[in-house]
Amino acid sequence: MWWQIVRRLLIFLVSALVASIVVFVLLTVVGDPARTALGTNATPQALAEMRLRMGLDRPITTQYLSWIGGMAHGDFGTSFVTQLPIGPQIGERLLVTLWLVAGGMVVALVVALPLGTLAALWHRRVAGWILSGLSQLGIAVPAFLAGILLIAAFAVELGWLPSGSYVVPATDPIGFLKHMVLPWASLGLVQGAVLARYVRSAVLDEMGQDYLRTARAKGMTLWRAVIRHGLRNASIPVLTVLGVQMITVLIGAVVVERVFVIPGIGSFLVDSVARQDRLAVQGIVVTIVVISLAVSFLVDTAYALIDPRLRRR
Amino acid sequence: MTAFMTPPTMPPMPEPALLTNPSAQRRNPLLLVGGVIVALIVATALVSFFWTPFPTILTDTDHLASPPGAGGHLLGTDLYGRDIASWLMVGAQTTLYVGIVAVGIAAVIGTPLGILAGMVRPAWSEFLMRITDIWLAFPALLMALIFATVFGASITSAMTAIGIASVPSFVRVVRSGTIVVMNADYVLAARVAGRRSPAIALKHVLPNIAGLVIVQCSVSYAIAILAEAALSYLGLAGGPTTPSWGLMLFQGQAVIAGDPLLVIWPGVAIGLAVLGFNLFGDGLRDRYDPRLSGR
Amino acid sequence: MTPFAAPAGRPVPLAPETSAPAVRVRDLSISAGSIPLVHDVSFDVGAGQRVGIIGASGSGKTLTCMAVAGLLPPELAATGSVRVDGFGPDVLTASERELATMRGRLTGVVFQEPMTALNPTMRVDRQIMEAMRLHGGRAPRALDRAAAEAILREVGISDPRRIARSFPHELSGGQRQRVVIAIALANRPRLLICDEPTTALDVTVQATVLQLIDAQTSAAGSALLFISHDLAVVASVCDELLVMWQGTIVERGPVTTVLENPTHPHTRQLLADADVSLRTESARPGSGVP
Repeated sequence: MWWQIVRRLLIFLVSALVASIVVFVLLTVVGDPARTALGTNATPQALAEMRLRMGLDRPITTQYLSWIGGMAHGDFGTSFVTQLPIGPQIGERLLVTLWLVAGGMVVALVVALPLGTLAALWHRRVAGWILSGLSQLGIAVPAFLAGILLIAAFAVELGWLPSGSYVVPATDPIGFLKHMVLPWASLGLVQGAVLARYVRSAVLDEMGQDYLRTARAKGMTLWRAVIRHGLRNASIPVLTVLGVQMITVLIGAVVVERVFVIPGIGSFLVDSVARQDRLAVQGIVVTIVVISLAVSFLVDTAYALIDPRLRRR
Repeated sequence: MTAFMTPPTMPPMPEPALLTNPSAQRRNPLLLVGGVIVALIVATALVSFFWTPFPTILTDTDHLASPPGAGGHLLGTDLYGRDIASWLMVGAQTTLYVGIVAVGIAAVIGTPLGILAGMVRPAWSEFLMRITDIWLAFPALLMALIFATVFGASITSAMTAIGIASVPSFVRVVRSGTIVVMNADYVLAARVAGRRSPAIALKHVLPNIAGLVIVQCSVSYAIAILAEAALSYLGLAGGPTTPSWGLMLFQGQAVIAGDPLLVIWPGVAIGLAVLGFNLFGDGLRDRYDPRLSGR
Repeated sequence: MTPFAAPAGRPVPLAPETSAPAVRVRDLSISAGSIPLVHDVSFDVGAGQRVGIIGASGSGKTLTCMAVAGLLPPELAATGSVRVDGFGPDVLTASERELATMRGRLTGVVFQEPMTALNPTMRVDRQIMEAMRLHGGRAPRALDRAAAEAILREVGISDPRRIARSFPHELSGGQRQRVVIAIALANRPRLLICDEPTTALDVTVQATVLQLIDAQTSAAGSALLFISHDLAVVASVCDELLVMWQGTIVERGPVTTVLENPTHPHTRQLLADADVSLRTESARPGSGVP
């Protein structure tokens, strides 16, 4: 088992490294970063000066190594557009985004687990149709669109909740929650509808398994057997979906932060793109990609913890 | 809402109970409903080339942000007095255009790569899969943001990025289909008879996975629509005068308190388009080769 | 509907506090929608008695036993009555909650497929302890664990401590079936139901598992309802025989009688299909292994 985790960890590290090279090549090697920073009207002299400042005169490998080496201890460089260090901003804003993603996933799970399980146990056919419809709807309505519609309903029409902006949880926990309800709902509800369908079919699969009949033969009611024995086994296929959804929510958050004016890493990214701030974009994209790869790694590892059959060797 | 991340690593979406019934499968309501929605959108886009109720550049200053029906504007006008129905129609053009180019790029690159991955020795196949895993960490929206930084924000850079980001899901689907075909008796016989790999790929593999590719096109199309909507909402696709549903959402949100209809119309259009292509894809998956539909 | 005579020459059963039959099945019919699957089946299994049901696949024998065990799928409709000794309501009409108090305490089931009958993500001892706790109340964990290991030793596991801590996938088919038997017998039920318990096992393991069922039901004093399509297997374990064909019982009687004088054509067919040497071999494998 340990060897498997180490192997996956190695794959994760190599993947992260390859991804960072790809990002670096796209954002530093392709085109002319100095011109991007200065605009099309820049004089040749200013351009040359900027190249020197950006360190573009050095060999590409040196540039890459100094960038990745800096990141290793949190130094993402200083933006040539805003003149601000990038690392601290990423750290600060990532925290906001993690609140957003975590809350969205909690909403999705809270919606999907009971809904999917109930749908498997009750009125299979009708519940199956309803869940299929809901999850088709969930796929068709992107998070940011859901966010705009939720604002129209709950912030504008009913006036129950604020339509945007962010409150730091440490200073005003209640305000924080009030401001996060709609973003969480927009990321989580639709994702939950999609997840519920997977939960239902995973639980149905487990209900057809012999071991569940054994559990009932021991003296468990169907419900108790499903909850005690079925859910753990059903969580194995659901986990894959959950990992993919977490990445979907992270990417969806990029736009949702824009909808709700939340200063997370997504709005930092969009602002940096609009400012043509290559170095900042480079750092943010690498951060997001590495998080995605880490989620896949954690999901793979979690399999081994849940399913003893995978633990061998 | 699965937005910009293809779900290729997900297990296949469990089919609705309806489809497990063989007699219902023949009727295939998904294909019908999806097909009708897709046809409707395509027809709208085609008509908009020749005719829209009003020119999209016309700003009717007598009817600013007017309700449906006022001044002959079927669905009303936006903040600048532009006709919403006309914008929706031309927005369908943008959506379909971006989708066609993006899916085209993905299919043209992804299909040969997938066949290759399915035919080479397992070690190489494994290597290619690792690469697609990394590739998948760059979903369409992220790729498009990178492209917008490097090449500038435009429809061209958006659809190229979306296309490139959609390649790995094609590779995965095509690879697993190819492996099934490669293990079929007739291919084994052809290999024993000494047929070369390129010939097998063209003569046996490609025709047999064509259905899979078409299904994946439909699924990717839906994802491309979502990514395009998000990008134009962020103002990173076309300019502010290029009609697109995402841009309409963005402009509508500014006046959401006054007129929520301005976000409802483009919202419904986006949802309907994605739903249509997804249902169409599900229906096609049913119809084409049920052997491979399980993926 | 004459109840079967108590078999002669067997040790006196231990468990039954009453002389009522362990199971009394009357006019049991099972159908899926309009399709009849089992029709008008009636029989008794006396306390400590061993009854075999034999028939081809699709003859309704498994459904009959699942009805007795209270494990019939909800989409099937059953009429008639099934009474299990010690359980108040009729099994066919009882609620899932009521049935749960019967299953595992009054009835135990050994299933055909030991590979899938155990929960793959739960250690063996917990699966056995669960069977005991569901009916025996809460005991200290260590005691339960010791009891689980004792049961494993009883079912012929040579290294119970290690097996108890194993996951099902780490065991062989024979070992798994022993664990399933241990779970079924954990509460010394009035009735043990075995649904083709050796069919999925290696030929070499089959005989020892049969001996184990034989010995353990004697030791627990349980009655036995044993399903098989294999005449030789049934003959070696059971006293009485029911032959099912197309959802009905077509022949019944003591094993030797049925085997020597089959009256129904289907029984003759089954006999003809089976090894001829079987007719002469009606002796059982001793009275089991301790």
